[in-house]
Amino acid sequence: MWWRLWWGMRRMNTEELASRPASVASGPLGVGIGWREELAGFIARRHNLGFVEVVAEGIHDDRPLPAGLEELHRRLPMIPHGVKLSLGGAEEPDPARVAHLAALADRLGAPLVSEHVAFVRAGGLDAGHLLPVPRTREALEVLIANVRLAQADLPVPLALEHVAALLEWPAPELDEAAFLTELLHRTEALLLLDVANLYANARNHGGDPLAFLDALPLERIAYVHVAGGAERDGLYHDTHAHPTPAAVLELVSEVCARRDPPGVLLERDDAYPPEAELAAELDTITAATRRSISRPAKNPR
Amino acid sequence: MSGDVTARARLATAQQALVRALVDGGPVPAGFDPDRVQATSTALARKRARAVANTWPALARTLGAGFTAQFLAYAADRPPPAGGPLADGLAFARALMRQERLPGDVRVELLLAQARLSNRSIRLAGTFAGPPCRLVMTVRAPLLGERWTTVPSRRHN
Repeated sequence: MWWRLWWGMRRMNTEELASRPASVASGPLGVGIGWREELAGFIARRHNLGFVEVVAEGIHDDRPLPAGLEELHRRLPMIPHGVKLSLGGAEEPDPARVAHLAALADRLGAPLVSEHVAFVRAGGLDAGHLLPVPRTREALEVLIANVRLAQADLPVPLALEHVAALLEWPAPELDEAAFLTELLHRTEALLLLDVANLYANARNHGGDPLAFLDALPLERIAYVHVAGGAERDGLYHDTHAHPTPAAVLELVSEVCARRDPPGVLLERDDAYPPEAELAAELDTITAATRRSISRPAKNPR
Repeated sequence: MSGDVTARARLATAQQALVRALVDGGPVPAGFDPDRVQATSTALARKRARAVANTWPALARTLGAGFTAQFLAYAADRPPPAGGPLADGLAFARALMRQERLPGDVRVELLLAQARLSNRSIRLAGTFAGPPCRLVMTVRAPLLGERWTTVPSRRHN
């Protein structure tokens, strides 16, 4: 499993290496951005992007790729990112959704695919967004069974992302880091570390983000998500529609000080800023991956 | 079924209760912080509102600053439909239409969406829009797909 991931990344990397400008981060994927139709022009023009992520549900198996993606996928590594598989749900993952993710990975020559530790529907109702899973032993067992079912039908490794949530389930039996660590170890899934979600949950529920980083198996990171948010009514909302706060960039540096992740990717989903602003934000993220952190790396793994 | 069947059943019950509270006006399940459930419910509805506004630009433009508040009121006890923002906006527009008269460009948007979502293989519909006053007709037919045409009209809008 691991060799496939690294082989995939190396394969892309050798193609890219010659033209790779010095401004990308040290990981094999570098700094990337989530592909959105509204950003297609910006992404096509931006020459030092390391990789892009494509929302899996936005692509149809029987239709051509959206304009710009076809050309881009010959040039850049692309990671299908599922948002509706509902791996944390009570039901087994829908085989058709897994098959779509698998077909997309093949079509894009993707080194891996990613999904969430979340559920999006229950009892025939669609919540319309990622909801957190109760952190109980019982829910963890169901989640592990679901992840294994999905993995069995995927041609590439699966990376799992922890989500941001405004609410918490009552009576958790495990803290989030322990829940994730056990999930990753038992499924051999990779980790999609989202420092914006980490920051949002620490703001809204308390907890030390650095202790969270120290408790996670950082060697399993496939890549890191970065995004902006805003405070409303006393809560921090992970909007993906505002600039990345300095505190989130600091967490990028903290991750890199512990272990260089293969890649770091900006998610921007709405209220798209002028291109110069977005370019500057990507440059700031690149700089954050290199900023030296004064405290020593503590991850013992 | 992979995994413990009773574990799945218990999880299903708990998750259903939470989703009902979030998108269907259901009661807050025991043990949850009601403020946080409300905040999550509002955040979900706002996300829906943004998606509807992007899919229904004339509708969003017409309602202007009041769009989000009106949509949130509409969505409070109506779960998001399976058809996504297109169907969501359509149902919202129909609800508005029942309450008041929507301007012409929104009616055209509504008509096109109805043609696209129609189950019938052949469908013809029309509405007056303007200014300048015109009759807009949509047709949906096999091979033809969805088309629309405009006929100038003297009818006052």
